[in-house]
Amino acid sequence: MSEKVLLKNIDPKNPQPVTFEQYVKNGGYEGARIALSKTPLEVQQIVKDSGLRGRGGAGFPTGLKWSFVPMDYQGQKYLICNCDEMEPGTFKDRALVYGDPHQLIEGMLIAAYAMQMTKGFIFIRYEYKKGAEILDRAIAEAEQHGWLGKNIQGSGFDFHLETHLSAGRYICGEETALLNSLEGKRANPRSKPPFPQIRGFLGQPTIVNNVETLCNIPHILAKGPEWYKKLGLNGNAGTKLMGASGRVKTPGLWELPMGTPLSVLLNEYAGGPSREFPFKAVIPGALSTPIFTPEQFDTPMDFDSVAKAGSRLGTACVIVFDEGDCMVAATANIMKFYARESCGFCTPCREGMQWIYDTVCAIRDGQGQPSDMQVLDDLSRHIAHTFCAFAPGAQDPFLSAITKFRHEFEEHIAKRTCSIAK
Amino acid sequence: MSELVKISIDGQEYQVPAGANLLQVCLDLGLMVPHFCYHEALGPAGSCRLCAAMVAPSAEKPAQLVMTCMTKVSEGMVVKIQDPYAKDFRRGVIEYLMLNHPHDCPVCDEGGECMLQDMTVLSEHIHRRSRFPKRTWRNQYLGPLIHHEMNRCITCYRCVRFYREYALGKDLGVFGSRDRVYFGRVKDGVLESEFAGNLVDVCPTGVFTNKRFREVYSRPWDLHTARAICVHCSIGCNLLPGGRHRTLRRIKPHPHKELNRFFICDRGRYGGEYVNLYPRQTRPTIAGTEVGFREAIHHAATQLRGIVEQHGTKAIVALGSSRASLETNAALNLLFKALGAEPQIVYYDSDEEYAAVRLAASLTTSRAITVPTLVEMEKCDFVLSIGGDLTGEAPMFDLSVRQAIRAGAAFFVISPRAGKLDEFARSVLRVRPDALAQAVEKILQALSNPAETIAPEIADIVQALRSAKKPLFLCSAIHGDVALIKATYDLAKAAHQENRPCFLAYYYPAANSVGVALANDSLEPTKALDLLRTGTAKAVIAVEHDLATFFGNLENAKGILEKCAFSMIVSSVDSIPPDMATVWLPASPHYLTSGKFVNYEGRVQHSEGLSLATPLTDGPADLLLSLIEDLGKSALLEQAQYSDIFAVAAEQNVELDELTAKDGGIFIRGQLRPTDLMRDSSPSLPKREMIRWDIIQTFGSEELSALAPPIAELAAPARIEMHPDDMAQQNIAEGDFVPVPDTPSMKLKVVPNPNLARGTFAVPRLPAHVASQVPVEVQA
Repeated sequence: MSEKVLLKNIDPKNPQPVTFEQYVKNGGYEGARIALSKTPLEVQQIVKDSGLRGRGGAGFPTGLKWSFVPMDYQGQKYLICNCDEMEPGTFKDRALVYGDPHQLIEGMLIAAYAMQMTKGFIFIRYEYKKGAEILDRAIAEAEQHGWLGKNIQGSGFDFHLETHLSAGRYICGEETALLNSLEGKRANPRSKPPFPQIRGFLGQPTIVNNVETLCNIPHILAKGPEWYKKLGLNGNAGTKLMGASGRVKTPGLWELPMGTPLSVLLNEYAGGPSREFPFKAVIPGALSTPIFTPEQFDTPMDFDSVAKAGSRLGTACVIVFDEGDCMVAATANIMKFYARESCGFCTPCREGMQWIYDTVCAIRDGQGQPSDMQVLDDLSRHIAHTFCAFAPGAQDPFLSAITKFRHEFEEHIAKRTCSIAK
Repeated sequence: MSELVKISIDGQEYQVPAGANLLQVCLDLGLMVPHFCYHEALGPAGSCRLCAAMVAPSAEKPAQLVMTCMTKVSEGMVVKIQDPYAKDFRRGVIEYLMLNHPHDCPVCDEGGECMLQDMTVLSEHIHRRSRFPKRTWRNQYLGPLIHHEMNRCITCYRCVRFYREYALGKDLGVFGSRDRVYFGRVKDGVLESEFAGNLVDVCPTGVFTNKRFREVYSRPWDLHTARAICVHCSIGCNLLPGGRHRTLRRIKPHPHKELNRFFICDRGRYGGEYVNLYPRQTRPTIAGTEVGFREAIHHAATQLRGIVEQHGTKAIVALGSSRASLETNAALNLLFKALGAEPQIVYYDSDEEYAAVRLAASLTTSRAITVPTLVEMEKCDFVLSIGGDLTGEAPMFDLSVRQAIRAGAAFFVISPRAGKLDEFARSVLRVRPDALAQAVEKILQALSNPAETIAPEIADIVQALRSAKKPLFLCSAIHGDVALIKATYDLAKAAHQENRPCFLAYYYPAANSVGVALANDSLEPTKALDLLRTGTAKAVIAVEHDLATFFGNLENAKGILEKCAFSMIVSSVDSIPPDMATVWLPASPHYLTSGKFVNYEGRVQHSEGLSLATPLTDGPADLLLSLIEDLGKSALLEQAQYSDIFAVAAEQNVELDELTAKDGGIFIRGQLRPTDLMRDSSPSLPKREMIRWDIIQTFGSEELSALAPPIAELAAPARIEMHPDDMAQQNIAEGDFVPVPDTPSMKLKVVPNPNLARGTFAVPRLPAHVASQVPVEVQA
């Protein structure tokens, strides 16, 4: 078992949120104290040096993203924590928010200081209402102890933080849709550029970071970038929360070194197949990533290795299928989600997702026609050219399903029934 | 001029402005890239994904599929519209749009001018592959102007982008998500925006259609069209009325690059319908008996000649018309000359209107002020609206000001009563009608004497004006406040600097107010009334001018006409009952007759007439010319020059003669000297405890459009508005009936309005000939 960093305060047997006192006792707010003693640009440099990459799924270097925020900007700048964790199969941010809220607050304080942002929001999905309450209590504690509010710890730096309970749609996790939603508008993504770092919330420079990303920051400051870089395997920085759900014996969430092989996650941590059937497929980065088949199970779970193997690390919460699962039915289930969650702004996504879903359902139910595969092929191409990354995200599992499991689709169409699902 | 860059489109080289929108560049070059959500006025949205093309930054770099509407051109760009991948994608987009679109094209209102049809053909989507049911919607009632048919929606977002983002309306929105996006209101109801009719044009399919047009439907290609000028306010928007058989069916905007580029107001779009209903007496009458046109005209000529012979050259008084063309008013003037009489023509209903309109028009046409086009207004960064309600009095000014506001302009209002634009104002000065000029003078004082302490209520205005780069003043010349016209002119002049020109636009009661203000023989209304009351004048002629309005009411008009030896009405709408005049000559209305109009800028524009099979063929000018011919004075017509009749530069005579509807208009060079009029101008309204203010409603106050059924339906009920504090002071309760100031015979219900200046009675202005038809709660 490797070193626990993000989950070190959390006792799975006693799922109570860590209080301020416990947090401080375990070395909490030490990173923030160090950060406040440095200049903002020094803090940015430390984060850059640590090699931390965004844990929301894209893996963009966090320090680099921060450096796009204009430091000489006179007006209000905003820091936003994206806790709209709606990626199917993903429950890592939930663990961090419910278990150790001060870790997130401290991470946000350091990020805010590094970019001189005096106002922050935690955008949290509606289903995590209890998490918002936990955060609200923790924010109040932090304010009480001078770690939020005006003149933090006598540093002269102000940072006001509040939670925003989202009305709840998957698209709100897209950072520009999140900003629109936070402004009280329809949660449609915005066109980029301008990027939020330049014109974000209310038109002001804004950084949107994922919960897990921010939770790494206090430790990087407290223990230094060199220590952090060594946490991962094969030169990857840090640990990664990884989860597993589906046909595994012990579904769950673990903090593992970045670069832990997928097979280790599946067999050692998740306990191997839950039924008599061997594993057939895994979606490695929760839903919106291309599907892996067993020959790719040795892939190390880090951003570059997974990309090299043809998928994306995403949230690193894997969804597992075994040989008893029908991939046509699985695809229908997947596309139901995307058809439902499309914001309705652009044509291929709005109309295409539903057509894919209808067609895949027809095939699943034995109503498929040979020409349906042509329709699916056309759609799989066209949904790449949409306004935002939502439909390309849907394209990933969809395209790999109809490519890697095309025989299952063709068999359904030919036999007009399913012979796979068990 | 912006820098040009070289780009290649489908193998052809083009020089185009750097940074321009690639889709617009293609469209301007005549390369038809299919598109929906992009609209020149609304910009790109990137939502339809139809305008895709393969674009590479340079010949060496790989091409990517991009949306041309979201792409700016740059040097060396290589664009392939006809690339197979792009074509396949566009075909796909149309196929997706057609998944839920009904196949009701053969019976759809939009047929023949449907952008979806055009784009479908252009994108080569031919065969429907989907076998799943189409989504269906319930439609909403959106008022008398617009029909809603949501099943046809292709979700291009143009409607809400126009309605909410462009026109800053609130009650049309987007609902739902995924493939169930709905465009409508929270509840059924009349759309609140005065520009809602433009939804008909911006919607690329038949979701929003013209409710009036579809009632008596015609395929658009079967319509006769003409290039006309709107007659319902002084802006002079360019229109394309369409008619078929005997009736005008609809009006669409015709783009003018400096005025209405894309849109018009609903008064302009729906107000023209009056021409199908009026005049109801379509045969001329002599003393109430129907006769032929030739007989009526001969009778009138003989009578008028007799009167001049018997009573001298000052025996006739005529009412000209500020809503009729220059030609009509010129013909009236020539009639006097043909009779050998002195032209005693009155164009206005009050001396105050006479003074205010003429001063404003002389300032405009002598170029003493810089008058902005509608497009220039949109670019101003400071807007001060003075003494009127733009939405009702000059609706398209309102839409232009909304564009300035969107771009961040500082907007201020000085008016007695809140208008719809007030919500966007940085501050509002709510002052009594008789204190408007004074308020403007205060700003001038503060601007001229920086040392003086400025009253807090105007400090904001002065500060914003000082820092503005393009200030704009908009001032109403509709309420007859000559002191206000002068004060605003003085302010604009003082704010004008060489490196920072100031725009000033006055707006007027009618479409040709500026034109008739230049008439050489213009009698003050009270002088005309005196001539008639004292019996000095023996005959009265009214051309496109309502006698009941002029004389205050029908009873007065009747009394005067009975005193006259002869009276003649030439009108295209029902004026007073035809049998009250000796001769009634019904005229073909505007939109069916041609003529020139001078708008608020002093721009003369020619309005073409539609040729329809209506019972009336001659317009008022034609009828007056027939009279002149009957008098044997045709030679006069050939010699007649504009500059003999109107105070315009003689060099412009030929230009004016040759002006056609296609020219976009020419600016008239008026010879009326503002300084002469300023000397003449009498002091403003007398001081009274309570003073009347006319509410000019977008719907119902303008004479002609008020007769159109959909406009009449939208007109707010007649009422008297009072400030609640005034009501309390005078012991008046809501719902009480009180006499209308200046028209004590009529009593109206009182409605409290806290956004009205104290000491003011606000009453909607209703044209006399409409007052009896618009529902008015009158208590005897």
